[in-house]
Amino acid sequence: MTGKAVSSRTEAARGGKQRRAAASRRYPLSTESLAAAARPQRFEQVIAVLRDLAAALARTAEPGEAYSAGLDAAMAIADMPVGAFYLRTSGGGLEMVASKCLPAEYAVSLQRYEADSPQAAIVVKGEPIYAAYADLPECHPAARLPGVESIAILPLRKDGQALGCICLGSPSQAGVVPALRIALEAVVTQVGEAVARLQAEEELRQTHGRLESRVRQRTRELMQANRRLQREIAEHLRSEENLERAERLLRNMSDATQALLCILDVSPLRAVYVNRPFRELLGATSISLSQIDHAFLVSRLDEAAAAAQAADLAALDTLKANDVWQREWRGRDAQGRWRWVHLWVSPYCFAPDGKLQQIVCTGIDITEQKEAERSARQVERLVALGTLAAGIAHELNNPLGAIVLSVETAQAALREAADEPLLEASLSNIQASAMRCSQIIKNVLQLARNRSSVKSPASLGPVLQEAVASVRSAAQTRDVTVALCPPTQPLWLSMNATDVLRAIVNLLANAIEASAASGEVRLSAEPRGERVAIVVQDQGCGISSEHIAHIFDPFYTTRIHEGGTGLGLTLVHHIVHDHGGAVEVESAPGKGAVVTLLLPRLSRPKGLTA
Amino acid sequence: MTRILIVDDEPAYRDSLRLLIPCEGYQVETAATADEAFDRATQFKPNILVIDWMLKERTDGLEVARKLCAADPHLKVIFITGYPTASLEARLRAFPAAQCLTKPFTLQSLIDAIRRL
Repeated sequence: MTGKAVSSRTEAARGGKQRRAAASRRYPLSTESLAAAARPQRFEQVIAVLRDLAAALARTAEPGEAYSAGLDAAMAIADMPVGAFYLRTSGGGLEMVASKCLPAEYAVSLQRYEADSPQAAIVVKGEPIYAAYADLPECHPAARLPGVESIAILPLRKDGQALGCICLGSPSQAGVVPALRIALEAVVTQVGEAVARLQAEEELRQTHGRLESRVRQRTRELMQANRRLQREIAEHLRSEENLERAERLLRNMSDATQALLCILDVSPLRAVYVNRPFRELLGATSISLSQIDHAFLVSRLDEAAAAAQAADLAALDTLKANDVWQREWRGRDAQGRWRWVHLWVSPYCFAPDGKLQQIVCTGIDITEQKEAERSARQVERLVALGTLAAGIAHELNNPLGAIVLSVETAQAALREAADEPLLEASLSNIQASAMRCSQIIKNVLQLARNRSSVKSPASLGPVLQEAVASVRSAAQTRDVTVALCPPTQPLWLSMNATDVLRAIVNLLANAIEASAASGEVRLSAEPRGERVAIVVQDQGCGISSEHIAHIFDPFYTTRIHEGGTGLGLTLVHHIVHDHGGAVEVESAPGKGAVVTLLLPRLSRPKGLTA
Repeated sequence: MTRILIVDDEPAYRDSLRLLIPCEGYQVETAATADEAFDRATQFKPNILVIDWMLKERTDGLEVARKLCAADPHLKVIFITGYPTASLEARLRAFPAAQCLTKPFTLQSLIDAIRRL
């Protein structure tokens, strides 16, 4: 023991009285209450404290509450007014986790003890210490609490492990009576259990927390992955949208073009795709694709085209990957008009076994081209005829002229001789026949000259009236009515009125010839787009399709024995062609005929009236 | 009296016209070829020439008429043709006073044409 230590202990003894007086002010416990600890009811109180502690420890999940409850119970049993609760740190030191009535100025210095401190050693050793404060030479002087005369250090253990300790202090030098030390041991054991449990729970919570944090981390990762996936899906959708847009573009293009396009399954023959122009041509705008099948297509085609299509269907197996079949087919459009189409047929899709599954047909409407070709052929025929006719006419006109003049000569001679009625009639017949031959030649020559007539703006109305007037007597002879439906507005044409009149008269004459008694022939005219349609309609015997193809041919007549020259409709065609127009014929045997002349229309010329 | 020279390779025309025209009070001479025409014209001195513009062996009636008109500027011409073509019409512009008849024609139409000259 050093002199310094003795000196400090003497000082402590000297200040003992003063400190006790200060402590009685500072701490609520009195020596009277300490003395009462020896009383029998004090034990009941201790038991109650232990019971409350057990209940509190069982109830709590908060380590702080357990420390506090343990500290309270120990302080109450030991009847010591100052207390601190220490836990052993992982480094072996001690750390204060709860305190009661500890003066604030000491709280900091008593907060922590290092692993090599005497307090830590006491805890590790595990034996409780009950002592007068002054008897503890190991204690740091700075830790000496004013007014504390005795202390109790109660280490907490669990399964031999040092957990921490409860430190108590009292201004009384009496310390803790041995009877109560057993109760304190019970407190320490209970608190140790509780602390161990709470530490385990804390450990569990931390594990749980780590787990939760891992779950959060994983959730974050999953959410990132999810976002990435959503981005990818969005991109995918965008690309799908692009695909859709591309498909829409293709569809729009395919619909906007004039070309015809369809894709067909081959067995059975059925449409998979038909573009708008093709649908319109087929009159299939309002029916479903599955209804556009073989029967539907055949119903649209003429006999020859239907037969050709049947042959093609039978030969589809021979269609190779790079083959293209070209076909020209005639069929009726939605309005029932004949249309020509040129089709390119090629394979579109083969099954894995190499069998043809789908074909693609592209096509164009070549009706106008066909019409033009037909018209050109007609003109060519007329030119060839003209060359021939010119020669014939020149050769024939000479002898005809001779016949005519010779007849005149004979008639003159006859007038001077006797009256011979039979001879005179014969000569008249010869002359009339010669003049009729001459008329035929004139018609032929008019065609052959192939020269365009002089045209000027004129209204159609008067021409129609004149045409009807000039066939009236022929119509009456055959008991046929000719009805004129005059146009509702003046129709102007740039025309050679004589030629157009001749064309209409020719058509009316034909219609009257074809009509049965009490039949009716109607003549009408109406604007049709940029053209004027002049329509001659009869209810007569009609024309077979075989004849329709030839009615404009020169010398083609079914009335050869009835005075027909076979040039009437040829002239009509010639005149209409000369006016830049077209002729349409619609007829069937027994159903009458409708012949339409389509001539270019003029807007009303200045200074002219109908 | 008006003298008419008819030049045509068709005998029926020549014969009929030779018979009929005098009835109308005209004097008539006929020729079948260009050579005959020049020959007759020299002697007959016609006032009016009626000529087919296309004679046998494709002799050009217009050329014959041009030569005869050159010899006698007062000569009046009626062309007759079995086949009036555009080219003929164009060439006829060289004979602004001439008349043109298309075969077959009656005597009356020929007389009318003569009177129109």
